[in-house]
Amino acid sequence: MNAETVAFTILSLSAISGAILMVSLSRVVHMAIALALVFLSIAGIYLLLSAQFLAVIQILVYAGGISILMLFGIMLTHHQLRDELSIGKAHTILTFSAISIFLIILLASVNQVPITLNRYTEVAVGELGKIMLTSHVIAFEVMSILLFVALVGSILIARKKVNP
Amino acid sequence: MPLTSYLSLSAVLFCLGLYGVTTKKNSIIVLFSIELMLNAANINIVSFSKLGPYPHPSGQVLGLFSIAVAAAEAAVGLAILIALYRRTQTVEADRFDTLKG
Repeated sequence: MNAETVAFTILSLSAISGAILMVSLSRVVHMAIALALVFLSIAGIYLLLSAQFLAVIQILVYAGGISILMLFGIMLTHHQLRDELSIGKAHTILTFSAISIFLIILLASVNQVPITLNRYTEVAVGELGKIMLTSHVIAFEVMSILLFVALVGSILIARKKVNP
Repeated sequence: MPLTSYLSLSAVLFCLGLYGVTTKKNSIIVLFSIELMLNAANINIVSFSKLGPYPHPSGQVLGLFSIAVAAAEAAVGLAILIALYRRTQTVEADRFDTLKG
């Protein structure tokens, strides 16, 4: 067992247990905290995949931004702060078994992926920026327009209606 | 680590997110679970960019773009939820039945 295997095991266990906690806890705020744990572990997984920039962005955007945004959403909307269940028991069991079958199919097909030897050279952040601003520059600009439109649109949707 | 373990981790996370989307009533939790599914897909993208048959750093750029789209989706989704809450005073997904015939 080398260090990478140990790190992957710890990170994936914490990610999966955070996700299980998220779907099984009853208080919504605790769910948000479990989701932040999942996001942090996924940032660690990105570090293992030698995507350092993406790991930092993951912590910044997800663990920092989206978790806080979701907490704001809970505070602004939910009074009793509980996820009072719920759908019927039969529905839950049916969904659980269907998703288990789906997961088994997914894992079986994932195991058929051929293991390839490759020569991946690590890229520095500057190199990544060069790729982003030369060969992917149109996608980059479209992304900035998308973010602008989405933020203005969400303000428009969420603000209080003034009487015309 | 081989590619298979990263893909399996992402499959498990995706299925947990799918379970949350289909069984939870509170729409905020549904949004949480959608974020979880997006993250699982993102792990796939980044692991193929390092360990796939043709490794290239463009995969990381794609992952970055997908994070940006997910952030925009979260903002818009939360805005829609707040607007709906203002109208109906609830976040339960099965109470949003104004269009029901």
